[in-house]
Amino acid sequence: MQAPAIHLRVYRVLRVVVAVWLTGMIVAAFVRDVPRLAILEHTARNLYFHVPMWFTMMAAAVVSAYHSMRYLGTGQLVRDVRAREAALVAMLFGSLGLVTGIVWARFTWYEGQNIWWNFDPKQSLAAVELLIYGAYFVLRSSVDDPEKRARIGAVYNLFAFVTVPFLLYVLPRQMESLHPGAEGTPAFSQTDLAPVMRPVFYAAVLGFIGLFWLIYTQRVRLALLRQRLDDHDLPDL
Amino acid sequence: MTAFLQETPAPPGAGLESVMLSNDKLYVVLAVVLIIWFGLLFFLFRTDRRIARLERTLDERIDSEPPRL
Repeated sequence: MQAPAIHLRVYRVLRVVVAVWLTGMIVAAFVRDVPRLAILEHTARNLYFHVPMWFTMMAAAVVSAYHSMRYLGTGQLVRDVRAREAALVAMLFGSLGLVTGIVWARFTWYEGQNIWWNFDPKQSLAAVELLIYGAYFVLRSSVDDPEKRARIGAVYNLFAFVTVPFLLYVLPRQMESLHPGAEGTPAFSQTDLAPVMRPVFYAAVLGFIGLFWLIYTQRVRLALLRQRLDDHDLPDL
Repeated sequence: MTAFLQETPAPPGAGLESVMLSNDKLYVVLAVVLIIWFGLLFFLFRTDRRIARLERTLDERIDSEPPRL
């Protein structure tokens, strides 16, 4: 089985598509009308930016877990590189999701109370999820042998992936959270998301997943480059 | 003198300003976000160019072998 290569031509096309797509999405996010609700007001527009961070984090976690699974099947170290880079970008988007959520909550849920963090289950468990992915990198750095590191990392990464739906969805809904979506699936619900906001929201999810793909591909390319230097015992970049 | 120092408000409907001040100045935020977004995009493209240049340098000076992975 051939290891996946980087298709530069596809990448370059996608790069332009994502650049134009997300630019259009950002403009639409501000120019299009949103329902003006009390407490939320204009912050309803955060939906276009905050929620796609988590969708993108999950998409990246899927890509990462896929490559870890393939590593265990094939033993190709390039799979391990891809799993690692996808997990890293997953953490980037997850962190952005958490931080944007904190800011949003501060001025809506906790308006007038000067609270930034109140251990809301949804937020706490999202933070735990990021720690679980953080431990993946700590674990990796503790093993020197590349094959062993890849194998242990892959097994742990699959465990981390399995926790995602539970920590981000199942458990927060069993507890009292201020976060929307305690009943059903807010993103696809017919009542929680105003129809006028739906096109921009879906465009944002697709656009940010595309952006993940760009950053991820760039990082894989860089990792392969560094590996080539290492093959020749040349100093790292 | 005091009259001179006093700011004269822009007449309503004066081009750019009328757009930017409308809707609770929301479009000022749009402008800021777009500047950040274009800045990040510029970085992404430039990093791509640098990686491509490094790949070419390695191909020329060493070999074009793929990484041993």
